[in-house]
Amino acid sequence: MITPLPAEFLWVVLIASSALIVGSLAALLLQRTRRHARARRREALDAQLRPLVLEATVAEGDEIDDVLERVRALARVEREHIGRTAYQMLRDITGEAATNLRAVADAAGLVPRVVADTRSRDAVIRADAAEALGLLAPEGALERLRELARDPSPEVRTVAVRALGGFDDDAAVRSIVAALAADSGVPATVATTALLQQGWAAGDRVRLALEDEDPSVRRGAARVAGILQAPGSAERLVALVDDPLESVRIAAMRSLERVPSRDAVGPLVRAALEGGVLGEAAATTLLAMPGAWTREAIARIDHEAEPGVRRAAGLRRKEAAA
Amino acid sequence: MSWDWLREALTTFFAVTMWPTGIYFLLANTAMLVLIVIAARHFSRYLRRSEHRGEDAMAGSPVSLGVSVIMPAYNEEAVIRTSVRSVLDLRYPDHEVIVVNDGSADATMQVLKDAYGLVLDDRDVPGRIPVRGTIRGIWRAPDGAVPLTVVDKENSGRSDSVNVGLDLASKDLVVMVDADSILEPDSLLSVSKPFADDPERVVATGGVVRIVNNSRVQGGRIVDVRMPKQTIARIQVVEYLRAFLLGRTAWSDLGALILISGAFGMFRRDVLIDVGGLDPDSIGEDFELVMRIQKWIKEGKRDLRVEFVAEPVSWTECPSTVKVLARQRRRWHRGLWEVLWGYRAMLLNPKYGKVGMVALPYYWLFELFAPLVEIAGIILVPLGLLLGVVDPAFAILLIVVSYVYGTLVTLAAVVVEESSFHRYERWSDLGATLWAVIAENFGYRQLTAIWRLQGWWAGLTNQKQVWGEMTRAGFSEEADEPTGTPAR
Amino acid sequence: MSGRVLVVDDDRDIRDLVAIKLESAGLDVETRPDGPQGLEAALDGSWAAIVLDVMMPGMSGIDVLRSLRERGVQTPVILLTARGQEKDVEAGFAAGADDYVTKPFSPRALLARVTAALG
Repeated sequence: MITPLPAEFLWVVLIASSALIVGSLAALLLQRTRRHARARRREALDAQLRPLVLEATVAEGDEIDDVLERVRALARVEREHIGRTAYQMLRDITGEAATNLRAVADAAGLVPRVVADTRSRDAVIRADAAEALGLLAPEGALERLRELARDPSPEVRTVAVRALGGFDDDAAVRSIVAALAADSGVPATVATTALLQQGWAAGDRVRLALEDEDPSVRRGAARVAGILQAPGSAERLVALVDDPLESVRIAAMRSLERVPSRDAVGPLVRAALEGGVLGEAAATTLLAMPGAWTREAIARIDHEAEPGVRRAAGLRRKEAAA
Repeated sequence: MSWDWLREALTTFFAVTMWPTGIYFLLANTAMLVLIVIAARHFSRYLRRSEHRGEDAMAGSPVSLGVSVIMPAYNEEAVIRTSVRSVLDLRYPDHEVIVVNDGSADATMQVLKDAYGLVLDDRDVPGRIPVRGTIRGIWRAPDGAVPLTVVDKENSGRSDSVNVGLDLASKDLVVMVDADSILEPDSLLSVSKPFADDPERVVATGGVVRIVNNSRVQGGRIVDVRMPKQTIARIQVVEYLRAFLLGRTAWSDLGALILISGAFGMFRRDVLIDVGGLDPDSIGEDFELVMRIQKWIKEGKRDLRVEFVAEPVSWTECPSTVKVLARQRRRWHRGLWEVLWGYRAMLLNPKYGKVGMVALPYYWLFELFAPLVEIAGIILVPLGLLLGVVDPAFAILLIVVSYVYGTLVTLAAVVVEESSFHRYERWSDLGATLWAVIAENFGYRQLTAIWRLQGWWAGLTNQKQVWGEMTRAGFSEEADEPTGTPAR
Repeated sequence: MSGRVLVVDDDRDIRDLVAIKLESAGLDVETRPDGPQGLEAALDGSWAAIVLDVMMPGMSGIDVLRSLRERGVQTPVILLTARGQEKDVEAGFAAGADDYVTKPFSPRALLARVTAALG
């Protein structure tokens, strides 16, 4: 009979595992019971308070003051629920109804808490606060968000920059453009999306950013210039088709699809003949331009470019054409 | 007297093998438990951030990276219309769909032509990826209708079909999906997010594949999530939870993800073309691809990453009969073996960082060899008892400990799911899940171990002969099985 | 103003926000939480207008709209589309929508469009 190692060890593992299994089962039941109970509590509060929030969205003139008065008179738990409900609905609507909802959230006491949260030591709470500042837009939100756009945590900076997109203001645009920089820690898509949300207000800054020293700023600006139809940007975009960095070149090409310029044709043909993703982007842009400008260019691509670029230029297979 | 030498030999044999076997089970389960803890930490961080993740802002942004969705289709006339519709309808600002009809013998092609009024697309073909199946024709939806391309080609298997689609893709990112998968409306958004957040470094991402059996599906979308009815499918739900959701999350967190499910993987198009697309000869082609990408990253000393997104992206029908499950597991394990063997040079090679030093040893030791050890235990322990060379009390203790500890690990996975995503909300679902956790130990584990060994054996013995046949036959049988994803 | 309006959206907040705005203008509103129920209701009653969300699990608003038009129901339909999903707008008009409103939406603008559709 063999027992090479002490069976005690196995017994310890067995007993510990069994205890943990029982503990896990208890945890499962507890979690589920508590979650369901919480859901029920919320439902009850919802049935009672939701009509009030909805009423606020359609209130006209002085009616809103009446609603706000009623919100202020509620107990704390109820106010918190109202704050949450209004906050969620703010994601869905704009205009006057949204203004009313913001007032409701304010009356429910949400704003001071959010402002206090922007100073939290926990980056996740600061990021949530930045998101809330953007939606609630209380007085002073713009300044605070611009501060958060320089927060030590990239996560907070990202949320703040995204929120700044909703503020029609040159200072907001400046913060967003600064976030295009390579070392900002803010994803380029977030900063460029925020710029797009600014629309025309961003036009001038975007044109300037096209000449920035930082290639990431140039790339971001090049990406949005076309969609924004930023006035006077076509000339700079044409220059960027020959930028030292490939991703900047591609961004400029995609923008030129929307702000066509005849001067771009020459550089685009050269890029198309380089092939690859760059060549395809160049060919696609050429195809989007008026045929009268690009006839020779397309003919050259037909003769000299690789098949992928020819496809992007809408050219037929050689054997199919024959 | 004359039999004493045999007794002696067996006693020595058991003395040598029994303890390593016990320790192996403890180690394998402990490793899984560590992965679950890592995943749990990841989830709690991830979920804390759900308030400010900003997916809605990206969903509407025209600067999002474009995505080409590649969908190979073989004899899918019944579902192709709904599948294409549901992919076109995915919430994403800029995506195109490329269907590759892999020489279907049914009306797949005609259904698409009728539904979209396809017109011939005779533009040049890039030809950057070598493909085998001859293209009969490329079609597209008429201008301005929908971003849909349909390639009609001779049958050449799933991988080759994906490569054909890849060659024609025009967006920055590509994702491959199966025609019979159900996609989450936000799947493209969730899986592309790592690319948007870190465009310079992320080259591939995968999402969670879940089991659709018994859930209510309408128009190609899940409308009500339910636990499957059969025990065999319920066990797979728990298995998927443990291995795919938690296991892969943990590997991704460790920076050593080597497997993305072929049912929904997203890649940077330029990288996928650089590495040459899918290997049409590989059985575990999705595993093989990610291994190749990891090798390419490490050998080129590139600062690039493969990431897993914990959001569910796609739902797939899991085998609900023993026969189909057996076939699937044989194929998975054979794929696992062939890829691990093919990339054996990376094993324990510090040049390949955590992939070589952590992930691959884990896959070799606790995935590839697991069925061997399991079966050895099943055979040797009763044999030892029968011959009276093993202490019965001790043997039983060893077995009980292994199984109880294994159950604990699976249960931990269920607890993590419960505290994070809790997709199965009914009390009866919880009961069914717990039942599956227990039931897995009785029969299921042992049977899958046998099938996995068979698959391994098939890989070791008759590789060459079955190649062409396997890819083709495997694909035509695909209707009732999920895609070729090796285990765990 | 009078008339019955059907509102179909899977998001309860949006359903309620649309409903209360339309009701405040004296319209009779009924809501449905998904495509199939929406289609059933749409075929069932006589509606002055239908407000239909495009992005719903299961059956999308455009699917519902197509089914309606295929069966010859010509009730004015106003679609709710997500910001940036211009292709939904195109597909919607191709399927026979009368107008659309982009989310996040202004309830006032939505009411104006419904009123216009009522003629």
